[in-house]
Amino acid sequence: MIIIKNISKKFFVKKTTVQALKNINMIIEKNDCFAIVGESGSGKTTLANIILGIYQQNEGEVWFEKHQLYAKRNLRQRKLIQYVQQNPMSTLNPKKTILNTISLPLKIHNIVNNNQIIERVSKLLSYVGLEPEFMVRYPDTLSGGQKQRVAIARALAAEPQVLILDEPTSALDVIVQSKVLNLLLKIKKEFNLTYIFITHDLSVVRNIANKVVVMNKGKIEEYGATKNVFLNPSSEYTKELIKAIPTVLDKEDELKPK
Amino acid sequence: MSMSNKLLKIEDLELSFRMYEGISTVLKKINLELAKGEKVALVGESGSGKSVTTKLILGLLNQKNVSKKGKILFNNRNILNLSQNEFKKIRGNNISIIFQDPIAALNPVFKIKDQFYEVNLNNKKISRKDSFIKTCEALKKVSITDPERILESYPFQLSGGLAQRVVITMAMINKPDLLLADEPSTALDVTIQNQALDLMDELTRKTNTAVLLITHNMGVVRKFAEKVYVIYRGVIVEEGSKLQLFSNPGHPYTKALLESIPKLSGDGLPEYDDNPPDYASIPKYVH
Repeated sequence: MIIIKNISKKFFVKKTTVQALKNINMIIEKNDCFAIVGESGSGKTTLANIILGIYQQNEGEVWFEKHQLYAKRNLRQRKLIQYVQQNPMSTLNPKKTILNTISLPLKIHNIVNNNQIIERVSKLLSYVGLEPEFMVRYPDTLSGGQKQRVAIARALAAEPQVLILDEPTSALDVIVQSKVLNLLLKIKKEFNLTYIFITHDLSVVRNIANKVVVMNKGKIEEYGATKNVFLNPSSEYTKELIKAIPTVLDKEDELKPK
Repeated sequence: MSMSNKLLKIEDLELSFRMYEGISTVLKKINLELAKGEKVALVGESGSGKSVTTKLILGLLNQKNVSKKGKILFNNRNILNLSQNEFKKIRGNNISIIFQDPIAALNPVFKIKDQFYEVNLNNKKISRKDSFIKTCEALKKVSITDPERILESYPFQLSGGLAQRVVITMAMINKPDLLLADEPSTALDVTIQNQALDLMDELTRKTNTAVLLITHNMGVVRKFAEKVYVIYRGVIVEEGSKLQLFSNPGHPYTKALLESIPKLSGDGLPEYDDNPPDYASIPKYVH
């Protein structure tokens, strides 16, 4: 369980202050697929960075299970929460083979002995549907979907309890997106993971998340079970967002707020 | 040659690149038509050949290793092998384009007003002052309240939505016959994406400009287009009106594309065949 308690974050740019987050409260239960949605600049990635300990919040607390997490974390705390970023093209080191990329967290967190690394990496690759031969390849020989699979395998390597997925499928084609989402759901079940899923794509959220937070300009607009939020949105902003979703079926249009 | 009332008619267009490994054919006998004022979508995934089609229409593929066959008839004139000087007269005046990323499409080291000046000058001789006034008027029409500030800005000072308005206005300022829109809304948030599509619709309606919308997003197609072509690995696999295509998709690839989109009804994600059929070898479905 992750508890976000009254988090605020300001950035100081020259003489102006940007309030990126204001009094954010939320509870992420174990095994949730917890979606954070909002448009660019709504603060969703800032929030992820605070949960990860990359940024220090100005106010508020982050609790994981029964311990408070600070921006400065020990190895064990860092291992618990892993991160899959938006752009698979820039998140993998172009000068490292896939083997080196995935084995780094194995070494840092001392997960397996050195002589078992290759075996473990090939196992991790098989979880994400890639052949062991990918180990010797470099990122530029992979397609976008394959790169995102490697990024997921790397996040899994540390044996985390929580995965933060920041727009993991936004850069992918629809068919590939659907495959990666299916893979994520399968992995979640298999490893008993909690997902914090950050996205601006509400149709994806509708289909994979059980809870959703709608953010707007650093504040929470709406918070609740996914089905409720989509069928009975209470805030005007959420209604506008749902109305703007491009849909392909008539029955979807009927579900949009009037 | 028979005269047709089509604005753009692509006939048996083939495109291949000669590479170190051999010849790679990226377009295989494409046929496509647009009438004046018609809104047509070309839908496909990355690598299907949709963007190179727009580049051919604009005459932007002229490397030595490119070989082109077929015809691109624009107002009944084959423009496939026109010289660059001839193309300069067409680009920005008769045919213009909106790219995917509005910030990247603008030149980062020039102010917006200078970039508009260039486009205005391309149409007819105009002074900087007149260009500024003309552009202000145009920007006001796309609900930009302070056009003077925008014109004095550099691209990086604009938000994504604002930059997209600027780019759309720039593409439409010379009232072209044909607007190519290459994933015009992909880089934007859903609400801004909606606004951008509405704006494009409104402006092109006023000038009776035909639009060729390039996208991978079936939702965007459904909102914007009247007629749809589905392209897969350089082959058009299905064509039909929007209504026909969405109510009764005929080709297995089109069906897969439609199924793959997560639905608002929340029925879960579709399962995938890991070894899909070779869609390109399945005959084209014409409604």
